Amino acid sequence: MLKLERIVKDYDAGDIHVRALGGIDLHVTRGDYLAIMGPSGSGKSTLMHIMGCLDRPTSGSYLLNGRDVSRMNDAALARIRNREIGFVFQQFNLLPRETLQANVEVPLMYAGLGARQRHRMSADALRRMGILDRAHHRPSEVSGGQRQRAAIARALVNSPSLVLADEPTGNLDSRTGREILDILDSLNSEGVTVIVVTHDSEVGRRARRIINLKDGLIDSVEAAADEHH
Amino acid sequence: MNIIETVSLALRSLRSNNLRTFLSVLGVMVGVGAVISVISVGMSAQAEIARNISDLGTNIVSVLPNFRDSASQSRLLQMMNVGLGREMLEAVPALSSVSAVAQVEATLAVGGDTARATLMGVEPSYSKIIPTDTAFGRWLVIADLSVHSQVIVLSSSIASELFRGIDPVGKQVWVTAGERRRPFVVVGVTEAEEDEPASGAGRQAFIPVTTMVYRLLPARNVSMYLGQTRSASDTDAAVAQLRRFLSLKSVDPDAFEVSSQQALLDAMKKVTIIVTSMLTVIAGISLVVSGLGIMNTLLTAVAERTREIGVRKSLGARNDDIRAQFLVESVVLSSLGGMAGMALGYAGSMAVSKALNWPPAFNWLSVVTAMGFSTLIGLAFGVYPATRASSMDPVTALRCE
Repeated sequence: MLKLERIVKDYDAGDIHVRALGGIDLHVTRGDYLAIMGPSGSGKSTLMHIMGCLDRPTSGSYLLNGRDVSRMNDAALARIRNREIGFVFQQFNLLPRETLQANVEVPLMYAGLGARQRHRMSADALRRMGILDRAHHRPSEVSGGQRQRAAIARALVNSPSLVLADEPTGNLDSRTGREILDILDSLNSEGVTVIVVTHDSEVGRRARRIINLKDGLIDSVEAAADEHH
Repeated sequence: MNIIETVSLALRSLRSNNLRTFLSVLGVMVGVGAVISVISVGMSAQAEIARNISDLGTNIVSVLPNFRDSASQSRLLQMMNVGLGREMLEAVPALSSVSAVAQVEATLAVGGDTARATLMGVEPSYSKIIPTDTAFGRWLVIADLSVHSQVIVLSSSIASELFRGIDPVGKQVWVTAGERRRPFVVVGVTEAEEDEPASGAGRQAFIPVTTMVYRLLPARNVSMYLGQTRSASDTDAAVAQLRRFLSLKSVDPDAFEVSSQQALLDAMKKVTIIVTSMLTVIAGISLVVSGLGIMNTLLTAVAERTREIGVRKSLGARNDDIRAQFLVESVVLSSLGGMAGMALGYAGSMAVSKALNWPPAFNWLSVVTAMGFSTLIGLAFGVYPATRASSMDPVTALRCE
């Protein structure tokens, strides 16, 4: 489903030339559960941005569901992000002025769905995350765990083929963090492809495979022997 | 996203910083209000000028001497007798009537009471040219002129001041003009005019022009001629014919100044249009300045909401969606200001026309123009901030704290 070949990403900041990714080859099949780990500066965020179609590689090819997205224009990438990818961020990144339900509706709005349909789908997603009773609250009025659940509801509402989670437990206490990881596990068991970027080994253990990055290259790949699988 | 959703999103975003929104709306409001007031007051002034001039009649032609030196002055004054008016009427077919007019400031006395008045020596036709109706008694007649009779028609305010309710017709008035003092018999009183002062100068009394030049004034000449054309469309022809006649008669094309009320009206209108346009441009500058205020507000909003822009892009917003979001915000801001400014402009123009007693001329065209302009300004000054927002790199925007 994801096929990255010799992905290179260079940054030019004035005279300083930085190679963030030095040639990544990675295949991810549908329903896979991947953890991308590595110290900061290893290139894991850059890799996530490219896999999430927020950024384009300097060279190499990236096939997502059989389509080369590495050379697509901004509008086409926006469409891919909208239909194929659900993001879960460490900072939740909910819009502070909108209710949780309105937040969940944002991707549906950009997909061009009508109000009634958006309302139904967002309510379903909130119910699935167990926070339908918080639908009309603003993010500041609910707990961190509930915010992250709302963010996951938003990531799932368009039924994406890939969920990309960037340190999803980083801003949560350990108990709430485990709940969120449980949710990701259950999503994966329902067939959603999940890729988690983390430096937390406990988070990594949940995945089927751990990709260890170092200096922009894949250092090692371990198959996690986790009790969940 | 449909337009209603986009506008409601814009309103929610704008509400998140009420003071900033209020200030930029205020800027547009003042700009739009100024434009509407200026245009409306300008129209009002034009209407007022037109009203004043058309009170005098648009089919009136006036002939005034054009003194350039003492030689031409004495020559012209010799020409300017009552007979010259009759010659004009014969020579110029477009004219339906002509009156020679002589004018002097005089004191009118009855017993111990006196009143200042502008004494007008006129011909009977004068009342047709400058509509003058008599409320009591009669107006001047041809016979008054031929025998230079000492009869006078008073304005209603002079009559009431000198006679205090007694019917003045048939009573005697002593008229003093310069060195001469003569008794006159009141034959009529004109109808009250709205804009006639109740006392003091500016009030008129009418006597035969021949009596004026032969019995009251030291010189024999009149001061001007007023003519009336058969219709307003004849005015230009009458002016041209009069000029030709007078230049032949005086062997000097510039001896007389011939002008029509229509020409005066046109000239005054032109002047007000120029003044109004100038003021509109100045008011328009404030509208443009208010656009800068909007741009500033939006640039701040874009900077503050960089992360939101990143989040929206990660959720599938295209650059066009982001651009539209901020452009709509800008247009909503400027049209809110436009609507408030419309109310301000309406109030302003009404207040001005009321204070000056001018006809109200709240102009719907100015409303459409100002609203259109404010929307345009929202668009024009929103483009840069909106484009800046839309062209943000999603990764950088998401990283923004």
